[in-house]
Amino acid sequence: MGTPVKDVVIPDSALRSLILQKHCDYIASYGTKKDDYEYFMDMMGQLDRMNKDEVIQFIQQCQHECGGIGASVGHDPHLLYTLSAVQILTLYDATDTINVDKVVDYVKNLQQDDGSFYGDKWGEVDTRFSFCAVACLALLKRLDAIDIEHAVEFVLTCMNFDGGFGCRPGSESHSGQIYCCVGMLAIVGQLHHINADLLGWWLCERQLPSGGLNGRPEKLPDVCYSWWVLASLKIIGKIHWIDKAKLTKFILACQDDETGGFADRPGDMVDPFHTLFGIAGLSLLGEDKIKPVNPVFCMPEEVIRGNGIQLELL
Amino acid sequence: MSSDSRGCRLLSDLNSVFRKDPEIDEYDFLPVLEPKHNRSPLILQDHKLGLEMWSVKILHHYAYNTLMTWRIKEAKFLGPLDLICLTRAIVLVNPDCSTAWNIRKELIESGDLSVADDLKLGALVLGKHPKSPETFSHRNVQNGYNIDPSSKQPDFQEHAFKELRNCQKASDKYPSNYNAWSHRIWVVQHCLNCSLQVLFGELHTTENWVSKHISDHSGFHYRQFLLTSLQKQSIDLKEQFSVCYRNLIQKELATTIALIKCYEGHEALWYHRRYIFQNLCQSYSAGTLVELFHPQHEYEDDFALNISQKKTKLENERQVLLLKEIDTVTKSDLTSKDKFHKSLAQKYIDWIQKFSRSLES
Amino acid sequence: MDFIAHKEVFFYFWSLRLKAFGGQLLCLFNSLFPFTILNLSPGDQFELIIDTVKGLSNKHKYSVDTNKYLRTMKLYCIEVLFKDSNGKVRLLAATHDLQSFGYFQRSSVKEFMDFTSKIIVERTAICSRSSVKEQEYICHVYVRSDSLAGVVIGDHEYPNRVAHTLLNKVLDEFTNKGPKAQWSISNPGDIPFKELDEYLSKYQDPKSADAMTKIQSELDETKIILHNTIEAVLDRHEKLDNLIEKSDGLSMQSKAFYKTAKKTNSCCVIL
Repeated sequence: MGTPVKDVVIPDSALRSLILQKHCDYIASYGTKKDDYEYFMDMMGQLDRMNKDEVIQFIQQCQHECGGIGASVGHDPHLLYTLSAVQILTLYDATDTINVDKVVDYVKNLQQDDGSFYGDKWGEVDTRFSFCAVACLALLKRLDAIDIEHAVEFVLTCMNFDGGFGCRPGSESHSGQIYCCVGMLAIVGQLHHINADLLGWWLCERQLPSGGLNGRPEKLPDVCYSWWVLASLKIIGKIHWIDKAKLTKFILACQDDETGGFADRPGDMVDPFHTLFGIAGLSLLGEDKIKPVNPVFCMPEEVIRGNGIQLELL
Repeated sequence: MSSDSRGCRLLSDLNSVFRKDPEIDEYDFLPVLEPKHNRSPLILQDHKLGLEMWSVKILHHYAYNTLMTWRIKEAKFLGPLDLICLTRAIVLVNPDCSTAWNIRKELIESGDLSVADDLKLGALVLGKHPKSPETFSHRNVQNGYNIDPSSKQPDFQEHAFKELRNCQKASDKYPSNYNAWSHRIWVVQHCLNCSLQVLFGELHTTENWVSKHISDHSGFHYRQFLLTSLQKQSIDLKEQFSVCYRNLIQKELATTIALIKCYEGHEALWYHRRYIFQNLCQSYSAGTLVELFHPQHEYEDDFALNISQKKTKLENERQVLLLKEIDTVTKSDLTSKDKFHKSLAQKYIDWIQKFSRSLES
Repeated sequence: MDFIAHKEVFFYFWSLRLKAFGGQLLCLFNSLFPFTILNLSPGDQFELIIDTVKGLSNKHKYSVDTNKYLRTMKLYCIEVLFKDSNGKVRLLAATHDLQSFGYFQRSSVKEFMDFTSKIIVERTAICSRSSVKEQEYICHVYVRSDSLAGVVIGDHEYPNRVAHTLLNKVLDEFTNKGPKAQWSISNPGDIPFKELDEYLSKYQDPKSADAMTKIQSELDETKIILHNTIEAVLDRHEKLDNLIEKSDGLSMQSKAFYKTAKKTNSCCVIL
């Protein structure tokens, strides 16, 4: 007799090894959607399969007069996509192909008096945007443009009693938001504000019997949360608190051996989003066929170092 | 018929359905994958709109392309009414198209679209897509207009209360709906200024709700937010409602223990209990802190002694609380036959011990 | 006279002395322990006294209409079935509450609940109990030694113990409604069992139902067989897809709903 735990059962037939080439083919064939699929290609060492000039031209078309960048041509600018664009251009070492000063101004103007950031001119506030702003400026080496002290203060007001962070002051702790807040604090060197023991405890409790991690209590395990939780644990120096072998098994079981790519859970449909986080998660777990990933930027470690960005993790 | 002219006709069908019945309160996609007969794929029954699946993609494709062509080149002139209809068709299908919502914000700013109509569409969309982040983001901005005193509308509070109900509906439809509960918190904070009446009312409203959704951690977190906010105003609470905060939190503990007993093996309930324990601990320290630094003690000779005595008393109280909790859990939960329930109980004990140690240091 | 949902009452005024609270009336008094709950049933009328900010009191008359705001259900259906010696299953009585499902989906949901009940009872041995989880729902089944079977479908949170106690009660009571000989030839409605509706509403809150039944119940929970999916109940060679395709009880529309729902199981699908 037992309570049904919200979890999945990994079938015996599930994959146990990484089918890297299939994933590369899957992503390459996904070319109709020019979003942020460049990272994993790079992590898998296959960036040359994408047409660099075409990608850069596309990003240029997405930049608006105000400096912000939209998700696609014709879409309104937003911090989320501005960071994606800056990440992609950093991978290509081509940040000079867009108007950087304008990007910096755009980010800077979105900061509010309390230190928080609007996502775009319309005024929604979220700790995700604090991360986007800081990560974006760090990659552009222009962190001096914003008021970091207040930005940190705001993020800290979103901390909860369990050590986690929510999207705004008073909001529930959420693995995705925790990743953003911890990442933001890591970039500006303020990780000492975190209660690493309490937060690490909460994050470790996200691991379910199947080995997969969920994003919040009583949710199903999901490959994308596996990344957010894992990266946060890495940043606060507690990655050894979870069962790595079981998590690896879970992530590998989410591969589709016919099409390539990763799904959220074993047996579901694959998509590029979960494929990125599957690959990045395995990299953090020490898979040697994949380049080491930087847990804060979710980009290859060598690119981050090559840009002279030094992060002090706990 | 080309897909473009079909799309155009579907859009005008949709518009006439909304003209015919402005009170549509629910819509859904019907599993009809191929067009059949010559009838319209839109069905209206009892204020509910059904769209046959095959038509949804064509409609969205047409509306999206038309809108984007206009947005990029602005070649073809589109009037405000066209834009209202196009954006409506888009967000009904894909509510996370932020550009479509943004165009609606511009229409509101230019006075071509009323806030009430737009909020109504958002509520309809949330009925089908209860966790859509862009719909909540849009509503966040919409309700934000009301914060600015210069644009404060007379029915401002009414909007805010309606918004709380919309959040509740979205939480009914999708468990642990992060966006809905975060938005609800935001409305209480920014549109209703965390007033005691609202906090207290919400505490009552959600009591029944959480006891019927015991694995919804977001619902419990919302109560944690309400309790923390009430705690901050505990003096006013006592004066205006004659309610002692300590009683509220004790009652919360009693309710949670009763739920844990009835529903074995639910993490959300145990997490909520952690909050209550932590809050009780804090309430001991907060009360004593005020006493400790009371000005009348300032020049007393035995001031130092007093502090250490009180600190000891405080630590003792916390120790008693901790031991009592461990005892209760050990007796009623660690004896459970359910293995998972037992493991949650053990984790709870470990956590409160860890937390208590962190308070001491 | 207005129908009213409790939230609406509270917020429009500053302070209340009585409040409607989901089918119950909640009195808010200025005392140390401010909550007293009185029981009200649908259709009951009550008076609300509202103190506005300016110190004016207003009296309003209301009627309790639970259906309007108690949309969140824990239990969706209770069914009584008979399993004949060939293993064929016949429905004898059923009640459903499908308020919480979308308007266009309700008829299909009902068909699927009946279908599921049937296939699980077919595959449950005489004298045994099982609880089968399928996504956010659990189907509790009990087949008695005399081949009378009961099914309760609830959400995944509904405690097994309470569901199976409810099944005991329902089957016991049904036994008194008509001679056993009729079971193998009756259709739904032939043996009147209107109490089923009452059970469905009474057991919506397992917490109070649990307290009610705990004393008398001697249910051995360890005997309940748990399954994580419907597939787990089927024989090795059986496929759920095929059973659905073959079923007479499911309409074309329901089969189509099933197919499209299956396709969109991933969390990040954009249409």
